[in-house]
Amino acid sequence: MAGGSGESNSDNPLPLNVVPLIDVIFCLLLFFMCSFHFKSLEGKMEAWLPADKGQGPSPTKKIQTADLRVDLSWNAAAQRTVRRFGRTEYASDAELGELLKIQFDRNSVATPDIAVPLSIRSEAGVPWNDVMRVMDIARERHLPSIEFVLAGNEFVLPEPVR
Amino acid sequence: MSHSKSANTEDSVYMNVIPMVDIMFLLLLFFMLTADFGGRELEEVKLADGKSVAEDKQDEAKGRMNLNIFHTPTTKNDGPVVCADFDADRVCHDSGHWNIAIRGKRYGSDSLETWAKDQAYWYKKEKQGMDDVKAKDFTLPCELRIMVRCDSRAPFQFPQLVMEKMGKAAIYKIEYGAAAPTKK
Repeated sequence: MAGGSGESNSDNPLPLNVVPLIDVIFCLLLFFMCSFHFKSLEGKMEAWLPADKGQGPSPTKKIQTADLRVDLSWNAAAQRTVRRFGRTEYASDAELGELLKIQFDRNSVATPDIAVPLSIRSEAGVPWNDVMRVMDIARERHLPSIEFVLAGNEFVLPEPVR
Repeated sequence: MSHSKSANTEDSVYMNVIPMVDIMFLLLLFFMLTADFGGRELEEVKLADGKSVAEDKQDEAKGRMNLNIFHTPTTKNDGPVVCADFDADRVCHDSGHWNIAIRGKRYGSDSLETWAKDQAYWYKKEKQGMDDVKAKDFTLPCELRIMVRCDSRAPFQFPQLVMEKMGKAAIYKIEYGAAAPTKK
């Protein structure tokens, strides 16, 4: 490689040996190419937890509106999630969405200054995908707020072994 | 035709390495600038599909913490655990297969609560300008945003645990990672 530029030794009395340089650059290049991650495109859904109904003592107003709640339970035998609005089971996304929208609109007429949130109450074993599906249906129908009903969770995740 | 000067292959055939070195330097510079030497912010998860997802813009991600709920890699992916359900794209109910990690560090229930309270305390003090007493009061809301990136095959008890622990630290701004449906 030395003298690779084609110059004679008289023109370039101290030729630069670029071979180790190229070796090192190749190694670095290989390392960075292998460790490179392309950023994947992701979206998000927002569901702020209620800020005024937690541990604080602030009282909540009693409002006479119809409950807007979807219950999700896991049917282990059938390996599927059962979605209920009231007492009725809804397997169809469109049907559930329409019903949520109708109920929300009725509540808006009854109490125009208060937007009743959609409450999602889910069993621990329900796949997250199905919970997100209900959130997605609500967002598609432009329901402004979603809350989760968190029953006493006895699940404890053990500390990881260091 | 005169052949007085014999052909010298050592002098006449050579490789000009200068353009190659130039290109390699440029590639090296690109990979060095784009390399992420920080902790692993995003774990490998299959996010749930959502038709109504909002695009997650880069400037919105500033100051936000990513919390990952992900499955331990299975033997199918050269991982340590066997899980036929997960490999078959079904929900995995084995809680020992799931992990909660923030910036590459894994957490259990107790350490997650401690982390949330530490973050809330720091955020309220440094970003919300609260004094020490108010910052330690976990009934006062914390504006810190958390992005929960939960695998779609995880049971609800994991995001539920996260919500519960964030709620104990008064962190209420929770976002959930979702993927826009792939165009066919």
